[in-house]
Amino acid sequence: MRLKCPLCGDRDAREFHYRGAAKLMERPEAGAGEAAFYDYVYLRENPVGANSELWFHELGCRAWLCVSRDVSSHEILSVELADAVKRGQA
Amino acid sequence: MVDLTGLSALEGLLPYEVDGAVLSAVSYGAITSIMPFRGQKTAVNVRLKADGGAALPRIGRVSGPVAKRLIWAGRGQYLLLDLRRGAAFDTTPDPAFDELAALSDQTSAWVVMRLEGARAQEVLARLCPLDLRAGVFKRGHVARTELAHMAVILWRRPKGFEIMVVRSVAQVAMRRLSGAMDSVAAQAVLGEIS
Repeated sequence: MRLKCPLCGDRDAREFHYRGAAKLMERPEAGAGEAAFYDYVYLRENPVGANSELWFHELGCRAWLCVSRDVSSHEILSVELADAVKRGQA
Repeated sequence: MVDLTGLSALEGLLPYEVDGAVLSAVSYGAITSIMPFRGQKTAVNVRLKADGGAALPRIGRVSGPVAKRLIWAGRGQYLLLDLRRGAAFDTTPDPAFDELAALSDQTSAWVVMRLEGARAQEVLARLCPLDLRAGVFKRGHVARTELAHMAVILWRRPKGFEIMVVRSVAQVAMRRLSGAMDSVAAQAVLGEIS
């Protein structure tokens, strides 16, 4: 499996560390309440098909990446810098 | 103050030579990390040029002369490798960059090895997942990648590669490299590789 890092190009999956669902980037505000944090910490989608994930290019440029991966086929649909995605949202 | 003798992490272990490849240690006088603050990259370039140096390289590239080389070292990070050395040479980061970039002295944090020779690329192929053929990984190219499960920075030299590892894994990296050199040389003797 390969991921196309936006900085380094096509790299072997062994260079990356998988962190979890990209939902981790959407941390609720401090006063959002227990339900919102329960949802943020514990609840995840379990799709068949495209899943948004956070990967870390640990043995490469050390960028956090937002990866869209088809969990049935392992096809990588898109890879973006998490930093760019986050700032695009702001 | 006691006059201490500085030793490199690979003191007495290199150079190591086999048929077709030589591994040696490179000692830089100063290694400085430059991480430009958001939106300050242009200002950092102006400052570097004012000091008579080269501008920051593009992603995956090296810039500047051999004696004062700048390498891309990952997202938002560059390393300045300075060959000058001696007591008069100050490794304290320049305060002129205070508002422009985070500078830190990394001189003793990294160890640099040079792998040269006709079979250098075959040696690295045993340890590193990147395509390092001369037509793909050219002069002036630098990559952060994996070498036997260790994070390394490597760039092409006229006759081979320079490989940079954090000091804590210097001896492991050296042994993995020399082991791969033995393996490649042995296979060449046996005629298993051309």
